[in-house]
Amino acid sequence: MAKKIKAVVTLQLNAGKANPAPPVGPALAQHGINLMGFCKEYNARTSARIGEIIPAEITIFSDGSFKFELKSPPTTFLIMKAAGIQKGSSRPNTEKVGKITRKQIRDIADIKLKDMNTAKMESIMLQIEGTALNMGVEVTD
Amino acid sequence: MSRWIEVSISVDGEAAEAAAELFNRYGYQGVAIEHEGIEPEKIDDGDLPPPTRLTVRAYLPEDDRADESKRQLEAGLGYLNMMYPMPQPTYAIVDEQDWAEAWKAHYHPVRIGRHVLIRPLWIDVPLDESDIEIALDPGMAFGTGTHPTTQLCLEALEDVTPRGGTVLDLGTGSGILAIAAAKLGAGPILAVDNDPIAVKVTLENLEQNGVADKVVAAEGSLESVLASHPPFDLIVVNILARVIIAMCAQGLGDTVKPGGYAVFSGIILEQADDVEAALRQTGLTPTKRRQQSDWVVIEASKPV
Repeated sequence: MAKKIKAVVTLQLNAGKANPAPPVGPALAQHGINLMGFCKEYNARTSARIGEIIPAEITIFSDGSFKFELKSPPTTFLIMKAAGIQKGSSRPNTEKVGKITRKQIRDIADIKLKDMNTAKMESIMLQIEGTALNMGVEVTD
Repeated sequence: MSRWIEVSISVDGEAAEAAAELFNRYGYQGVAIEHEGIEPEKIDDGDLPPPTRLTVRAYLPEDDRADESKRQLEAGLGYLNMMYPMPQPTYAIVDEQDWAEAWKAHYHPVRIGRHVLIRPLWIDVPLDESDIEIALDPGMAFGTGTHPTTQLCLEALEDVTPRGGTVLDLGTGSGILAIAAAKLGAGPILAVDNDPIAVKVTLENLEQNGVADKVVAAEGSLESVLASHPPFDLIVVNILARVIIAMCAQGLGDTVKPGGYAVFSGIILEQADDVEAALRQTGLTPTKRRQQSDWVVIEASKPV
């Protein structure tokens, strides 16, 4: 019989550096997850990619067990990396903070495609372009 | 730091990523995003529909910069609100005690290998004569006995701990493996960790288990051990594959006596070959693997 899902929590964390401080502690302990066990497992699986933000989607079951799956880094993180900036603009419509090419958008779409079962390349690229604009990052050819 | 400000906002799926990016700028070490509206006992694994609403949470240290962070975060939300509907965030104070203690309710006694019984300090368990009991309050240190990496080490220790032999537990965490080695008849034992909190927890657990006379716990590293101690009959290293590989290049093999033995854990199956190659480079000969789910323990000997 399939297990019943109690909660699903995605933690966006720095690869290889999870520890029981926030957000891991408060987000997981309320569901009864062994914090150190999660941290050890997350760090083991991500330690080769230090410097990236790697989300872990954690599914918590009614019997107290859990599983987790690593996802691709957030689109915003990938855009910032491609544009070489530390953060998005706080006034995206007036203040531009960086540039990104369509080729880079396609590269990001390739990474995100793995997380999306049905989406088409073109629509993912449009979504990423929209996200970039909302961060004050200009898209160039 | 014991009190935190939890900032939460409830948004629809599309707005969540934008909110998470904003929260990431101010939140400590990342953000948590939770699916809303999952009714317990209703949804089978694999049948979860895509989320319609999500709660995005971040945590700010409760210090004198908190008000400024809140103000900037709200200003950021104001801008995002032009693109997606963004409600006002809500704030709550959370205490570190709340989560440091919460998981204890789910920590139960566990039997490992042939004789080892790990129990939380606060739960009594009737013992058989042959039981080797370890009572633990792991606190915020690694090693509760519930994780495969620890369990595999305990199984290995049951088989290979030398009676009266010297043992090094490198990266001791809660002290669980050093205590097991002591109760399996080894000693003297050196338990080392680079985290002072782990050393404190280990010292308490040594007292609790009546092995403080056989185990010395100290803050330290491979380097400090090599500088101050002769090689050991047995070493046990439960950390992570990458750390073990790095230590191999720094003389890890020199901590083992010729004819001695070593147990390595914290290794995912796909990393095992790399670890074994590194062990050979530091003068150790891999002899055996133990596996539980996709975790592996590698045992190795040192040629005489």
